Amino acid sequence: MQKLLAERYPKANWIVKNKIGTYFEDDPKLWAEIKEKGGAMIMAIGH
Amino acid sequence: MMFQELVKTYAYKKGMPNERFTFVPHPITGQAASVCRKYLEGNDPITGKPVLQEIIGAITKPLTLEEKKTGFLARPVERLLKPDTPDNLQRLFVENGWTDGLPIVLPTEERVAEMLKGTSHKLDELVGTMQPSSPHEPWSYTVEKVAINAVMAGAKPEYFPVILALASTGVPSLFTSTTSFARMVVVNGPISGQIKMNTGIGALGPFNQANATIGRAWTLMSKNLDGGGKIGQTYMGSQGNNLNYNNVCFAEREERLPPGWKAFHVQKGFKPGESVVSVFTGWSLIRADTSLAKQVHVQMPFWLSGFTPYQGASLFLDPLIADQLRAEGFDTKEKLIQWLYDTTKTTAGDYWSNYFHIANFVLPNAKKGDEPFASWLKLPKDAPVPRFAAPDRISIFVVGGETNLFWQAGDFRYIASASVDKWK
Repeated sequence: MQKLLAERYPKANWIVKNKIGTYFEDDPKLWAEIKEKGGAMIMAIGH
Repeated sequence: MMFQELVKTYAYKKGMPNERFTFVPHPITGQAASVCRKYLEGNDPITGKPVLQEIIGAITKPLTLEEKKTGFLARPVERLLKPDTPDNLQRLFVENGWTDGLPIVLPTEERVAEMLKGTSHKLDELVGTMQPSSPHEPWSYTVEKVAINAVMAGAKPEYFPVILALASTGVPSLFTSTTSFARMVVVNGPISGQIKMNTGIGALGPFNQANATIGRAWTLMSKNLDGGGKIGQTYMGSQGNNLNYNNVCFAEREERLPPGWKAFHVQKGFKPGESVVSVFTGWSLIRADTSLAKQVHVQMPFWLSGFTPYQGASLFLDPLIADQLRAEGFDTKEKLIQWLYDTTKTTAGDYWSNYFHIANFVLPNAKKGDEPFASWLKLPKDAPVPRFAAPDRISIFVVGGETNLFWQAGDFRYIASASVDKWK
């Protein structure tokens, strides 16, 4: 997804971050970091 | 199936009912990067719109007033249905997905009132909360709502404290794993004799009202008390699991435990005189065909070595096999458990490479630092690691009617126990 978005929207900076633990688990530190440094977030979930 | 309902209910649970989301085809596990790229370049299978267009729109367009609304979903439910004929009501229950597909006992006010005589607790007392999986919104339920499901299952009022204890665990029978989990119910203590549960010949078969209806009530509760079991919405098990009809409900035959062997609930810290219900999760049972020429304990690791390391092992031993194992030197259940733990080890390479559930649900926690898995992740591929993460992942029950030197096993892992006495 990051590669595709970077190709289509090269002016934006697309960063991938792995959430801690399984998808059942909250990750407040990551949310805080994104809130502080990011312009928006796309969360990808699946299996 | 696109998990639309799960995403919606999770958004409601978090108080963001209008959260923006988009979908790609499922599953994505094991798909090549080129396939995933095609999914992203394709259309959302639900809306039919391009996935990337939806994603970019979601992070760039201002929120509408409707989307800014927060709060939780209200579910007003009428306490009584409109009167109708028994046949029409049976049809109504089936059509609404309130049953397990079999006819039910219609929960009239009179029958529910009779069921409530099985407990001293008030009908409006909160029993617990349940959800089809942890991301789902939990629903709460009262003693009366549990009684309705107990009536539907065909239970007698004297079984009701067991069913209430089961409900109090908050564990759903129909967990919405795509891999179709089964559950198991084990009853211990004096209650099993008091309500005449079958612990002897045919204990795990369809021969006893208490065994049958307690297990069935759990499945009905899981449908009606937490919104679970809706195919394609809150139940995503690809094949389903036949054990969900009754949840392998049985009671341990405590009077035939070999000397020195503790009943299961005593192993978990309860007193022998307490009545307890315990719940387990897994997928399946196997019959272990054994040789009479070899000692039983030597043959057991062979059978358990095919089990996934993700769950556990539960052994169902006929009293004759339990006696045999004691004669082979296992004078406690704990000694046998330790033997099985030690002799079913696998390698780190096998553990981390060959199991879907380990990759999805253990590996992320190992990377996070959870022990012992974080240490196992650092081991060379040929280093031994336990198949079952700890000895308490192995459970042993004595049950059966002594018509054969028989034992079987399941990949069931212990979840929780609840006091039945508390709900009398």
